[in-house]
Amino acid sequence: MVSRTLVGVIAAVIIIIAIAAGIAGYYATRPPATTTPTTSPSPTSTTPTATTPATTTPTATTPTATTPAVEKVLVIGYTRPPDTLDPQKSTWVDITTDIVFARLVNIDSEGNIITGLAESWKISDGGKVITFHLRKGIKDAFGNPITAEDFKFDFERFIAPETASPSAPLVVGTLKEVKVIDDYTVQFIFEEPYGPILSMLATMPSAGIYSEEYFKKVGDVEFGTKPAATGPYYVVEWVRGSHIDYAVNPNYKREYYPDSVIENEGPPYIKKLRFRIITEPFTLVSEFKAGNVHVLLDVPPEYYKELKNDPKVTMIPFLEYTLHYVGFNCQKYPFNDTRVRQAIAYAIDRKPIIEAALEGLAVPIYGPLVPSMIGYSEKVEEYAKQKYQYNLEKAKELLAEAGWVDRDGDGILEDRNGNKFEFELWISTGELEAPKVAQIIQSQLAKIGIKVKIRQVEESAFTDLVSKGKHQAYLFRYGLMDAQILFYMFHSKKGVKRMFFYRSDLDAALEKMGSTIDPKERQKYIEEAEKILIDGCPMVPLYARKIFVAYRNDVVEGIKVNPYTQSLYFNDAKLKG
Amino acid sequence: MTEEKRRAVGVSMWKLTWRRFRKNKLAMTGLVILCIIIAIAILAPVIAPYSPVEQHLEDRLQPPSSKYLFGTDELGRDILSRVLYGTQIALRVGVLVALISAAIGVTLGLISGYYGGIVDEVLMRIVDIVWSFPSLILALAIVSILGPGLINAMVAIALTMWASYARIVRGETLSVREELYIEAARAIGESDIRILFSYILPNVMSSILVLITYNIPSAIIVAASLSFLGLGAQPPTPDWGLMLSTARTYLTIAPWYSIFPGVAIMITVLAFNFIGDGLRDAIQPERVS
Amino acid sequence: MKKYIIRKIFSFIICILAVTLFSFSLLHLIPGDPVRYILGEFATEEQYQKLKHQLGLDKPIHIQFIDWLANIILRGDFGKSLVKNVPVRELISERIVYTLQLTGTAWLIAFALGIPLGIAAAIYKQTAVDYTVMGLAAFLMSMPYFWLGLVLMLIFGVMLKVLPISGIGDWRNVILPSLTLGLPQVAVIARLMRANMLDVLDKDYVMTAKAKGLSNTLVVFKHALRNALIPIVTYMFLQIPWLFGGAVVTETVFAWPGMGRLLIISILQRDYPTVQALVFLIGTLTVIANFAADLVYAFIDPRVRVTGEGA
Repeated sequence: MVSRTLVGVIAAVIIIIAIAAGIAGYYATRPPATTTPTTSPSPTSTTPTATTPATTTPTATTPTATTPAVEKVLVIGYTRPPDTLDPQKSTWVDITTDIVFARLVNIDSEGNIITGLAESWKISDGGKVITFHLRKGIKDAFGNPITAEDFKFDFERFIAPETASPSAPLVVGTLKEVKVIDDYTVQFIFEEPYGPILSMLATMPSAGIYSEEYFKKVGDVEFGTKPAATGPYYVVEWVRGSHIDYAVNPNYKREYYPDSVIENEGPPYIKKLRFRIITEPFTLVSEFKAGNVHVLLDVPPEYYKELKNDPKVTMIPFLEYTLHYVGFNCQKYPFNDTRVRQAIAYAIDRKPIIEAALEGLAVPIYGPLVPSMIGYSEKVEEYAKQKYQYNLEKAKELLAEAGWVDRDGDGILEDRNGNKFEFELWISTGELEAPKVAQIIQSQLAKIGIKVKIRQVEESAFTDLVSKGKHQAYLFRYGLMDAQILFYMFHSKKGVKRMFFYRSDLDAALEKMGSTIDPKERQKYIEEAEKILIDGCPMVPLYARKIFVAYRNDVVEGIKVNPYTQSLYFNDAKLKG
Repeated sequence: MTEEKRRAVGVSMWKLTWRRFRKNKLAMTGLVILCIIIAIAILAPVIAPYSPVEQHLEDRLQPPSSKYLFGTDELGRDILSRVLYGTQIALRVGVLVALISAAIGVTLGLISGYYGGIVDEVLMRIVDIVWSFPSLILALAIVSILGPGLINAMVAIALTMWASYARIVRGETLSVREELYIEAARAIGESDIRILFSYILPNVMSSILVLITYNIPSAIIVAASLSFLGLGAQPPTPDWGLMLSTARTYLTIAPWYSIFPGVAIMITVLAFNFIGDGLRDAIQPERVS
Repeated sequence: MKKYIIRKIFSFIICILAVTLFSFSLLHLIPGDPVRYILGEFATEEQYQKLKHQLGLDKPIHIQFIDWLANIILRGDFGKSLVKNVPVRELISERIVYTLQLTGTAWLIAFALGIPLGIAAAIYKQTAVDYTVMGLAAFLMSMPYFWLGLVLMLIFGVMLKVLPISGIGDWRNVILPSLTLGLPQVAVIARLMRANMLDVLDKDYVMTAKAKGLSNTLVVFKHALRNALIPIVTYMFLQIPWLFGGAVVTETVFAWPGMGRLLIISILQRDYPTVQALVFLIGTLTVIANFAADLVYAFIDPRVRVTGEGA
């Protein structure tokens, strides 16, 4: 009997192996990467207007729902589960709230500050007072009228200590008071002039306007799950971990964001949007290819080639204004020694990181700012690049100077007390490339005798734990359109806590940068702060990614992107078929 | 019965078990596979074509070829080498966890069965819960206290698996407690501890052995699951669960990546399960139909 | 019988208490000061006191326990999530439906497939049917959930493109995750069923029935099946908590927004109130399922009814 069972098991083995072989064979016979057998010249153009005539009329998409769809929905793939949709309370603001809130002013596709809910404004008292003249007849998604009182309410809630808004100091600086002059005039009064105020008001969803009445009706908690305001869409339902559904704001007008590239005068044509939360890139791309997701906000680098060659896919490129870097805890041994931090800066080679972990879709960065940020200076970047050219000898020298020598010949450095140079490098689960980047860094640092242990930390807990100083070193990113990010990242008192690199000269430079409105003068302070950061080396800047928005041109057309703010315009988009 | 005599009985019982076990072809197949797996674990540094952490960044996600028999991963590491080194981790995790949980379970089971009364009642209720609690959930709860990491994961799993040992050992202890030779030992003034470990324990060894054989594969699976969930081994450890967790990202681009570590887990678990079945049937022949 | 049930009720109460204590003490078992652990070394005294108060850690421990329990029992209140600005109850109630959908379907699959396969293997003992079923069962039991999930995803979602790969949606989205969760159980149940059937078929009364000349089929169905099903019914209840365990992994593989996924995320985020609540709920469920299994066992198994002893 037993021997026959064996036969059965062997049969099962054969079945399993056959399945495995089938899978392997299936892939082996497919040419790598380029999978679509279309002979039509597949355009490599990635301009937003490139709509490729699909040779085979796609039979709609794979039916998303078997029940006949009442209204068609544009589905956007989204990788980051939000903590809250109340931008004033969130630690993270992005497109999910960008489309819900209209703002006082805007930045158009050419980078100019243009009108928004405010028709005009005047800066007075050396930048301490800004008077906004508001549009008349503004209504939110539910028809609640928006007047000066609402602006006052919104911004005073924003800066109120009870709100504990993580982004308030960054967005509005030292805003002290919002005064209602009449129904259509508000005055913002600052303690200190705030340099980047207009670009912040223009780009941050947390500076968006909502109705006081609506807010009070639904309350604090529900506002965080179902925000409805003045933007082109409002949130209907948020199923945590699954999706966020939006409906169009019927009261939206083009004048709330009068960028010349937008044609539609009224609310967007697409009535419903769904942000599907899919954290796994493979699933995301598969769903995109299957037609169940129509827009990818950020094509995972591994899939770039494959999607670029797909005629049904249109891609729009940007250079993100986000710096990816290795940050040290400058108050914790061994990174409280500048030489040790610099040694690591010398020992990291950015080229293989970009080639291998990002498929070449990134540019190496040596200084604290990225080319797409306001305030970036090529001169400073060049200075940093010259200073920290990849140099293992230099790295070893600096480490030896700091007392780190391989004393027992095991290939790992020890300090004078015999402690091994071993540290934990934290990475976030929210960054797809982070495990790869970290492992490459790990093998690079092994070459100078440093042992790196990698630990993955859940993204929404990441900044929280880091700001508590629990880390030794981490791999993360920061980003903002403006050099003001440096103030936010590095000011000892008013900044977030990340690298714990505190210097009075840095604080002084950052403060001057923050309170100077004249761009030329401000640039001087930006560069001063950058220099201190480069020399003091609280972090090793790594790269900025080239990102690609991709959409299915067989499903949707007319999605536009503002290259400056990098926000998506759905206003003119239409679903096909 | 003198100690010598019992020992003799014991020896012949093991012999008898082995004789029965040997006839069971499925179990023997399992044993052969296990021997191969152990050999791979020991010889991994010799037979693996590459180091498990050596990166070949220019050869990322290569399909299986003569250069890389199982293909390469996202950093150009040889998947074959990583799978081979993975046996070391899997076996270490499985065996250590099973031994630790056996040690905990046996001790508590002996105490519970020997002393009885309120001690027994309390311990057995705890056993009831731990035994019926899904081990992954319990392990997760414990990891939430200890924090992620392979060692912590092993401790957590060991703390979820001891209950079945305690149950069996308690039962056996209850049944032999009143035997004459135990009474005799007590009469000549043997200490409780000595009675527990040198008189009662040998009687339950065979059941424990069967349990250990079953627990090793469960421990391997739960540990791999924890690694898969990001709470066990951390990169770049060549842990099978961790490899599969990464492989999922590349399922469409590099399907071979998610096949091989999975097959490795399956074969290892299967081998232990076959041996476990065979051992159980050989020790308790009356259960074989 | 009465004694047996009283014993079981007693044990049920003790188990519930133990589960409650265990989930409550999760926060206290953290080595060192839990508030410091959650907040980190650079936290201000103000933040420290605030969180300590929020977690109720400024009160004596027995008061904390009573508060915690009273809030759960009287108000269904598990406290507030430390990470997300909402009550834990809300987080869980948003997700529980999905987990029930997944585990429920898996449970049905397990028995709908497992029982007939086990019966078939027993009836056609030592034939190709038996070997195939048992061989496949051995394999399914050796596959970790996450790998089985990946393989199913690869075959049906990626290669054949007949089913959605992940996420929630219509009924087709449920198929792969519930198969992943259910198939290993099919294996266990088929094996159990086969063994029981063979056991029962050997029993005297079946032999007698056979000797009386009843047709073979009738014997199998009337006598054997009923007795062979008893352990399976018990198993149906014992299985429920384990399905929740499997759901943790399955939900992660298929991006299924259920309680299991929430548990993992909460552990990674150190959101202890949420972890405590989930462990408490799953633990209570475990104890109830076991209690139900004991009762059912007592009512349907004649032997327990006669001897009154089953532990």
